Amino acid sequence: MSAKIKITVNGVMHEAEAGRNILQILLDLGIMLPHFCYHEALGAAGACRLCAAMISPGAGKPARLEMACMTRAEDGMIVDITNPQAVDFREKLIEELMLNHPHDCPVCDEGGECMLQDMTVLCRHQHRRNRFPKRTWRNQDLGPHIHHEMNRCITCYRCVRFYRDYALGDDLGVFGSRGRVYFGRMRDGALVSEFSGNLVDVCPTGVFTDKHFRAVYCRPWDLQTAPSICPHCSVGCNVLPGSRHKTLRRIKPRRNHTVNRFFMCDHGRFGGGFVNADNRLTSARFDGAGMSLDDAITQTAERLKEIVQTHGRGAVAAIGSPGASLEANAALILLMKTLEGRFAFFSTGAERAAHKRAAALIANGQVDTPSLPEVEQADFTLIVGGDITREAPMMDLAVRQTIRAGAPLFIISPQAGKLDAFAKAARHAALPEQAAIVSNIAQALDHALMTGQPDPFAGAAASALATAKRPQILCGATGAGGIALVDAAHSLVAKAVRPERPCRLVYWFPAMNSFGISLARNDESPDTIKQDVENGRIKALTILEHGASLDSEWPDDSKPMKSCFTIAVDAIAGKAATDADAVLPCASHYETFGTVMNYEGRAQRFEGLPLPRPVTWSSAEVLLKLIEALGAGEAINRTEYHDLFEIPATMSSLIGTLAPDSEGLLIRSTAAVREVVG
Amino acid sequence: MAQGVRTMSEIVLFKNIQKNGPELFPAGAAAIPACGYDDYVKNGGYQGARKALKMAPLEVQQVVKDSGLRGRGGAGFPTGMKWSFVPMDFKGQKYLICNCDEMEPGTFKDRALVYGDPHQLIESMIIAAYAMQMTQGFIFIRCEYRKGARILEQAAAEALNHGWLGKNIQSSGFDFHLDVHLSAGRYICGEETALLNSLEGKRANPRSKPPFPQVYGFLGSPTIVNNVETLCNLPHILARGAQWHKSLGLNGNAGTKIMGASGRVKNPGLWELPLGTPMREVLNEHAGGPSRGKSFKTVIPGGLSTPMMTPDQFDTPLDFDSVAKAGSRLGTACLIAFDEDDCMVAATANIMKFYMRESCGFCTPCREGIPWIYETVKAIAEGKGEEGDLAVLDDMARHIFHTFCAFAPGAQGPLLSAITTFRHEFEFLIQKSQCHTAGGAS
Amino acid sequence: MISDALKVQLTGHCGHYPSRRVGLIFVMQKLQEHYGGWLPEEAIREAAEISGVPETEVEGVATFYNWFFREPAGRHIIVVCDSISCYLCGCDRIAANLERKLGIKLGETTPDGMFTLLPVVCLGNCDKAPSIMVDDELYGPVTADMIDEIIEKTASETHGTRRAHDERNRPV
Repeated sequence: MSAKIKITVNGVMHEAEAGRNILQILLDLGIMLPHFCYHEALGAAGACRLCAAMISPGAGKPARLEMACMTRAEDGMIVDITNPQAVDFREKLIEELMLNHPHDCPVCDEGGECMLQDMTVLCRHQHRRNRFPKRTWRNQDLGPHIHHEMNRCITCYRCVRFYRDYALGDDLGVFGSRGRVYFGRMRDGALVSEFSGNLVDVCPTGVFTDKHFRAVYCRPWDLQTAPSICPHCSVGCNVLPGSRHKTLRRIKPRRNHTVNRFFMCDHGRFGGGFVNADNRLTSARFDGAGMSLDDAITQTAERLKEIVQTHGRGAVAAIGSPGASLEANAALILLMKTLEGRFAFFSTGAERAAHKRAAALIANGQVDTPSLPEVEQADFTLIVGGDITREAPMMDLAVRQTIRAGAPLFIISPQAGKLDAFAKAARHAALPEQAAIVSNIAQALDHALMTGQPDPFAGAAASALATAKRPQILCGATGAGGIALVDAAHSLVAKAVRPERPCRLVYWFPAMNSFGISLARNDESPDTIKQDVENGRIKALTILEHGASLDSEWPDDSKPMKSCFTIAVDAIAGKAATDADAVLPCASHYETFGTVMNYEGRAQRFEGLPLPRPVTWSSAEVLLKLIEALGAGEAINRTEYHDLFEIPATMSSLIGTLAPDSEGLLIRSTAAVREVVG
Repeated sequence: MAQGVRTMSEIVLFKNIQKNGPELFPAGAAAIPACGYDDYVKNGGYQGARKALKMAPLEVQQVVKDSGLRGRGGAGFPTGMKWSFVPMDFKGQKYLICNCDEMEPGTFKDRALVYGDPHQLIESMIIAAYAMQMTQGFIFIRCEYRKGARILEQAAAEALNHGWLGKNIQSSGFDFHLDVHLSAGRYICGEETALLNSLEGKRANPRSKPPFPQVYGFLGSPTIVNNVETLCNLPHILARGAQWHKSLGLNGNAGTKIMGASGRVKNPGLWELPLGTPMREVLNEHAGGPSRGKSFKTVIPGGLSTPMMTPDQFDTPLDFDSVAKAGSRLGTACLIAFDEDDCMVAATANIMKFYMRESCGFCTPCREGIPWIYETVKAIAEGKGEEGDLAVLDDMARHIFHTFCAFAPGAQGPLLSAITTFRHEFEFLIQKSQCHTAGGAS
Repeated sequence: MISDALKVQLTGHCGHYPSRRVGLIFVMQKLQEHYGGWLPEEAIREAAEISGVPETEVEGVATFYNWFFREPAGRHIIVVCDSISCYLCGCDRIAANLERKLGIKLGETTPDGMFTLLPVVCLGNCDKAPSIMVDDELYGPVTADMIDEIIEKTASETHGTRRAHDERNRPV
């Protein structure tokens, strides 16, 4: 905890954290001092000059008009934002910014959430005195996601400070000078950064807007929103999807200072199309006949009973999904318990083993897993086990912050990736070979200070690791690297940890809730289930949210499941649902609620948008109804999460109480969290 | 004429230039050749550096401190004090940069020093570099002085041949490498932090201070940026002592200052005069008084960015403190004179056009405010002024002060003084749509 | 395309500094010379490659400084000082004369590609106002009747350094 100082704001004494700038302190205190270019993540630039306040170093000392963002708070400072000189300065400043602004608010997509609008009203600029022509610009085509409207620009430099300085993208820049400063690409073309969508959020006015949102436009205040979690990877970014009429319109990042903070990746932001997709399942089906969901559930229950009676235990199985919530998977497991069936999750046996090992290490507190803000603080990073830029983009963005701070980065990946350009060294090797390279580094660590290492890459990585103060290893626990890679990374960390120096370890997973389902008790290898389906031993297979699963290879065309009665509980009419004998449609991720666990083992609650669809039940609810139809409804009330998953009983009881806007619940610190919540 | 009335006993900075005749540079395209190495040495050149290299670096700093030398680029900050902020125990490379980005309108003194006596500047840089143990130097020279860059490069090659640059100069054990960097233009590069960005190959937006360049400058290393004229004083201070330098100025000011005059004067030119010489003497005796037989209306004393001064202030001694007391700034001490037939509104429009064009565009008041001011003043000057225009100018003139760097406050100086001192001209034009002067600007 | 020799020279120049980027302005100046006084997109790419600076940044630099040109300009560049001392001494007349003589406006290039006429800030020649600079040659005080002579003399020179002007930027 940093030291506290006292500063006086508008005559009232406040306590504040030392070392911060005055503007941030005011904003934290809930005092809105108008500003544009300052952004908590991007820092102060001093470009807009709006956050002017009268600031005196202390009582009896003369106050001067200063930019609050550029002034470091010192003990005893006196800040007055209501001083007439400051108020007048800010009003004139807005007047200047509005000289060339097109005043196109009625037709501007930003209207309603435009910081320029807000600040103009806040600074009480109303009358335009300028009678000279405005400057006009030619806009660029920035690709499928971002619309460009340069005339609205107020030159706060936030876009390049985010895109270039923060996210280390190199295809958006600033051109020209004086009153003709232009922000854009060197020539028309799609922005290549994985984080380009954040331009929409950081731009304080409508220069960069969301093309998808403006395609079917509505005012932001007409959106219905629900706090949700991005379903696209295991980072678990907090998001705010917004809907209007019958469709999802956009997804924005939702602030969570322990996860994604301010930003999100383009995959998450622009990847909500599945909600509005044409192939959404809207009606239930049983043996080819359309019917109500209730009827389909009843008939399915009857059929399941028959199969169990005919073929006995083990004839019924289920495949759970890492793309579905803890609740849905729990319901599926409970269904199998009711029917004495078997279950597994989408992936392969080897992958499954790797996930389970990694999740167990985290859940047991055997590794120190950093949150994203903690990832940013590392001074050494080794990435191994996959392409983090594609598999966990926001973690890539966090690593970029370590690069900005000058920390060395080493990469072992299957093929060239975008972070390679920033790495001290990058080694490309197939996933199964990567464990050996990690082991080499661990060996080299023993003689890190020796020169002439047999493996120069391992030697360089080891010596950087040896001298780092806050090292971290980010390891993909996603697939072909297998359990060997998970163990190799763990061994390396174990070797690198010293009493005075922790070494953190991230395992990232293939899907949103991979971590959660990895804790399931008594699941089988997907390989044996698959085998038994193919050889006819399994007579009924329930498939949960295959459409949301990342694994689309199975079930596939090559292995028809003719002899097996299949039940698809899904939102999307994918392969599984098309071929299924019973189709039980459910709501999609953004339309429902649940709990998921991210790569840290952080349980996070999400809520659903109230989209008026024929299907409003979540997959968990559909499955619970199926259990009820089987006559086993009482099992539902008797079952706790920790009966089905290897989680502490304390956590189990807290999951239901999680608030979507909380920091979530870390599995390794469940006891501590309970004190806070309780 | 200029030499006849010189009040100095000794010509220092110009001594190798003056020998070519009373006019530093005759009119026309052909400039006189620069003073070469042999002539420079014959005239006592490199004696100051020779002396400095025998002293301890901190002793050299002390001499400069004692000499009372203040920066000649315009701000007048004590040079010795600026140097003392450089952390001498810094392990890595430190940099010395000569600011030869002379672009302040009305200012032409550094051109004379560079084109006329390049070795004087090189010797100066050796002394400064040695004093702060900086082994790499740059001369940052504006693009329009590309001939000067070639003169400097040639002189640097001569100096290298004679063991004054490169490794182990004059067997002192001190290395000093000097590069001439030809700028790609723009006035803002003269701002020292913008200059650093420019030298690093970036857009020349100024940086925020702190950190100051003395601690975190070029490529993040301790860096000193000094003006050409400031540096050129060093060989003489070292050769002849701090006390000698102190005695050169008038009224307790230290040293000489190159003063200039242009605009409505009979004999525009440059003169090396004691710091503290009254403005009236420069205008009337050296510059020969007004050029058109009219009396002076106003003078901008130190390059465009300094507030205008009126005839009742002409007795002000031209030194940093006296001019500041009179409400303006000494700046570069290159006077720009206007006479009573000049339309100050049209002149202000011209001045604002310069600032509009040269703004780097980083912060709002400068980027947006100055073009608006320019459009407004231009409209008034063209007889299209409207009621309310002066209120806009009043607001903006106050407003453009709180900016990221000193550029817009530089524009504020002449603007505020114009709309205050010559308000009646603005009012007349707005009301009558024509200038109150007979002819307006020529 | 630049020659391998030039590329080696420029790459070496960048390598001379602790940060390659320090050499960027010099590299761009040399490329501009090579391409006849302006920087085509090819030159931006080459400067990026040689200096290790992303081409977007190189473009940012190219459009910031007024002596980098992103469009072709005349064989000879005539710049007319329009700052205060020259203004007082009649630079507007000189500019008007030049415009008439060349048949173009300030900021334009003659159709034959011989001259580009530009305004410039103070040339530091205020004691010889009004001043103009033609390529590397400075003239002042310039009178109306000197202009014909200066232009004819310049046009007859075979080795004009081609330079151009960046009043381009992006406004429509």
